[in-house]
Amino acid sequence: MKIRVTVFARLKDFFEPEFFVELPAGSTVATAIAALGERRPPARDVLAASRAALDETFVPPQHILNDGAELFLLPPSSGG
Amino acid sequence: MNLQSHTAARTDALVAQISAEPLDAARLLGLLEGARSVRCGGLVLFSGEVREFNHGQTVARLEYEAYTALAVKTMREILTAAAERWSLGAAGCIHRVGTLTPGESAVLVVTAAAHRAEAYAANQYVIQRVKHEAPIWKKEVYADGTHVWGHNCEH
Repeated sequence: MKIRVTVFARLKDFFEPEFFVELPAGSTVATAIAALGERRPPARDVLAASRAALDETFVPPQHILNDGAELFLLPPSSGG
Repeated sequence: MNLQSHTAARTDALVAQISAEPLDAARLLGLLEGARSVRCGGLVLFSGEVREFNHGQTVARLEYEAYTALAVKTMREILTAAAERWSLGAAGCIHRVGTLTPGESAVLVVTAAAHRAEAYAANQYVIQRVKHEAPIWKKEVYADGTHVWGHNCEH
């Protein structure tokens, strides 16, 4: 299956702002994050500290992704 | 007052926005004006502003970005929690995105309550949680051309 990933802030030092990833059916958020870490090993620390969101809602690592999901990866925030 | 109109009034009393335009405190106060009850004896306005010096370096500019939909939703949840805990008459938070230079306001928080203690406490609560939980990021660009992505504010 294919999902769309959108990243922000320092994750854009490692990835395009938006891109697609092919994953086995039934993959979780954690699987997707691990796959991105394989693709860009220097990004692993930031990925490990990032939160994930789908449909404007935070989701846990064990959340199962559907084909066509739009996954947002959010590094630790620093507003204000 | 029936429950329905009470609910509508509460909704109007909260303003959560992300803005690409310079922040205007008077405008935010205006948005909340209709909800600011005559019962509110204290109103606190906080503006978080860009410092010229940070971590011993001269700041050229800050670049803020947000995941707008989730940032607004998170800010609204935080304002709602503060409004319930301190019985606020009105609460608002607007965060800037884009490129800011020293002296500009990056975030405004308004809280209005019956007394100043509640208004101050609620304001602190809102800015702390917004800084840590809303998906908003800043990149500090220094005069020497180097940059760092902001960390969670430790202050």
